[in-house]
Amino acid sequence: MHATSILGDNVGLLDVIDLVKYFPIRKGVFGRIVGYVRAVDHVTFSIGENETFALVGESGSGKTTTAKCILGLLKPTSGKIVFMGKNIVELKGSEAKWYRRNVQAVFQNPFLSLNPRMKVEDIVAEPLKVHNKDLPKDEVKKIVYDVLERVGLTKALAKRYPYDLSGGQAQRVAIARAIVLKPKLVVLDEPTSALDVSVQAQILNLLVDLKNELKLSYLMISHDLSVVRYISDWVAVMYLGKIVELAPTEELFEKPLHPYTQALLSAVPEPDPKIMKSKKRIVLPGEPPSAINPPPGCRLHPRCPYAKDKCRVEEPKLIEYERNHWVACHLYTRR
Amino acid sequence: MDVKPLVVENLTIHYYTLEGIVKAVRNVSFSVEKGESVCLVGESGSGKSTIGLAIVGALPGNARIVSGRILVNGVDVLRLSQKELEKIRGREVSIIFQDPAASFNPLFTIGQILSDVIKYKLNVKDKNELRKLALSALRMVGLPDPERIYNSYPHELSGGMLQRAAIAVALSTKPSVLVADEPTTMLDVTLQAQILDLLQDLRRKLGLALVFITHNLGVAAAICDKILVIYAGSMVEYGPVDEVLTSPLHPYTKRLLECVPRSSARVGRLKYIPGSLPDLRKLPPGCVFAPRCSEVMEVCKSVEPRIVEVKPGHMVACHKYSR
Ligand SMILES: Nc1ncnc2c1ncn2[C@@H]1O[C@H](COP(=O)(O)OP(=O)(O)O)[C@@H](O)[C@H]1O
Ligand SMILES: Nc1ncnc2c1ncn2[C@@H]1O[C@H](COP(=O)(O)OP(=O)(O)O)[C@@H](O)[C@H]1O
Ligand SMILES: [Mg+2]
Ligand SMILES: [Mg+2]
Repeated sequence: MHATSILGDNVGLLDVIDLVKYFPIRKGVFGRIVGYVRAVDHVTFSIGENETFALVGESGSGKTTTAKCILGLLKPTSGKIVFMGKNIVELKGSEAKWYRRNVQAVFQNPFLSLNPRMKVEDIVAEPLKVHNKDLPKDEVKKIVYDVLERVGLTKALAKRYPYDLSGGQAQRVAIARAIVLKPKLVVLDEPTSALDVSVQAQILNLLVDLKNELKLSYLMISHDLSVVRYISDWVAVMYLGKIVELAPTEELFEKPLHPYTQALLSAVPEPDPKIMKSKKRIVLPGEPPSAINPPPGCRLHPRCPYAKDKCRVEEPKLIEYERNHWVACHLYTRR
Repeated sequence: MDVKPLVVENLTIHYYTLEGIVKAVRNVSFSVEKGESVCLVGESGSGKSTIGLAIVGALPGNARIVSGRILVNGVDVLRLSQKELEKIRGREVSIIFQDPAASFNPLFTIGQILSDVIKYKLNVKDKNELRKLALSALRMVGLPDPERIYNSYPHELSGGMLQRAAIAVALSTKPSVLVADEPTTMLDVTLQAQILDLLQDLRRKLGLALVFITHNLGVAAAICDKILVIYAGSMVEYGPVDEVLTSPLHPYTKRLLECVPRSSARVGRLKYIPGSLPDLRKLPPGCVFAPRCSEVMEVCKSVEPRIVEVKPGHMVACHKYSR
């Protein structure tokens, strides 16, 4: 439903509209700009209330850059990011603070994102102190301990430092810090990629529960399609800075349209020998080219088994090929 | 009868640390035939890399092989002198790692590194011959434009290409055993699929005995004939991959499979394994998995289960199956 909103139907919780982020490449003592890394190149999507929207794609496809723009950590080259009706690129003062409070993040490596010199309880209390200066100390403490309990951490762990935690525990602390202000949106950038599967399962379940309880929305970034199928409502597939396909999760996994999505899905190994044997593999030769000089036309064409002349010159637009199912590929024309 | 390229028998390895003795690998046995691939599967810290390093004779200094044998083409490499071992290491057995960049000296070109290995291990002196062998190794692993790769420095290659180059180096000496320690973990799925295809292809073509180490059960399903599931340094299950993955016997294997989200179907709520790996310095008595096992019995808490063959070639170490 909300995907049509990108064309003006109704607004989502967060609308990313025509987002562009180019990184200049500089050379020489004068820092002359000799080119650009086109990390995110006209990306549009929308995240609804209490929805999990996933960005998938291989490394370098622009997922993290998109997330950083949304989190205000990077300034977009152009485009709009609209949160609850406000363009966040222009927010200042108390409105900017309101935005930061409502949009939180959890990253892949909790040991890099948690301050090593702070105790767990102080890490989780910090956002409260920043955003709610007048809150009495014992109130802060109560909230912190409630949140820690909610993410499955014991009181004893509250006094520890990050290096004293397992990967799973540290990621729970990062999640606690992200939800302590009761945000509306949490950006999850590969939150389980560094964890063992048995721990991953616990963290994924926790995220699902928190979403339901706190009516959160997630922007889930992952290169793991199995994880994405488990946790998301919508999926957008990125390739070299562009969304090539966008659909509700089940639709995308059951009826992938774009050759890249098909290749990606066919390459996922599954611990089921029957499935592995029956899987029709679509092999893309080579590796994704650099985002500095992306191929003209469709960016996939040098690796695409279906590439035609048109694909080499004309860039396909993202069209709604079936209801709610968007694809950018010349194999599909609007019906 | 043919001698098996690799036989590992009752291997037990400890690490000596200031905090005590880490019993990293205990009583692990398996063997690999020519052209066969055996996967060592387990979560991080289960002892997979330790076994891999022992096979290629590259354990760190604080490791002690407490007991067991490692037979490479019938020769017990643990009884060899350093000099004899040098001959086998990197020649009859080779290893590739998760991060190929870490195993290349950044100051040398791929060609220099490759030629050096061939020169030293195969005793080839002739420059032209060396170059020819190096280029053919690069060609064998499907690298486009081997001439260019030959003259490239490691940092000039992408992750996928560098892993191919690492495979070229590992196989340039025509080993009979290749240990691959999580070689695709850092790669994207489409590249992972390419590298898995390449390894499959090479092991068939060259009759390699492949020991493939992974924490990813899906990758194991894609590449191996047999699978050895390790938990906290103990082998819990060993058998043909189809059997172990479709009718697992050990509670740990079962639970582990239930943890994995699937891309082929939307699953209900994921199961997980409560608790965490035991401290390898203070192992509990009995079965190592007992404290986390949902099917635990009284006997499990005191008696360590022996590994028994339940079906032909399918073994499990669990009291549920011992009579
Ligand atoms: N700060 C930066 N400066 C220059 N290039 C960057 C920067 N951050 C990311 N990039 C480039 O932008 C592209 C997209 O990167 P990223 O968003 O991290 O991808 P992903 O998260 O999908 O792996 C890559 O080519 C990457 O090298
Ligand atoms: N050099 C070492 N000294 C002490 N302990 C070690 C050393 N190397 C590995 N270990 C420990 O041995 C156990 C097995 O490690 P490893 O073989 O690397 O497992 P895996 O490859 O399955 O992740 C772990 O508990 C690890 O911490
Ligand atoms: Mg990223
Ligand atoms: Mg390892």
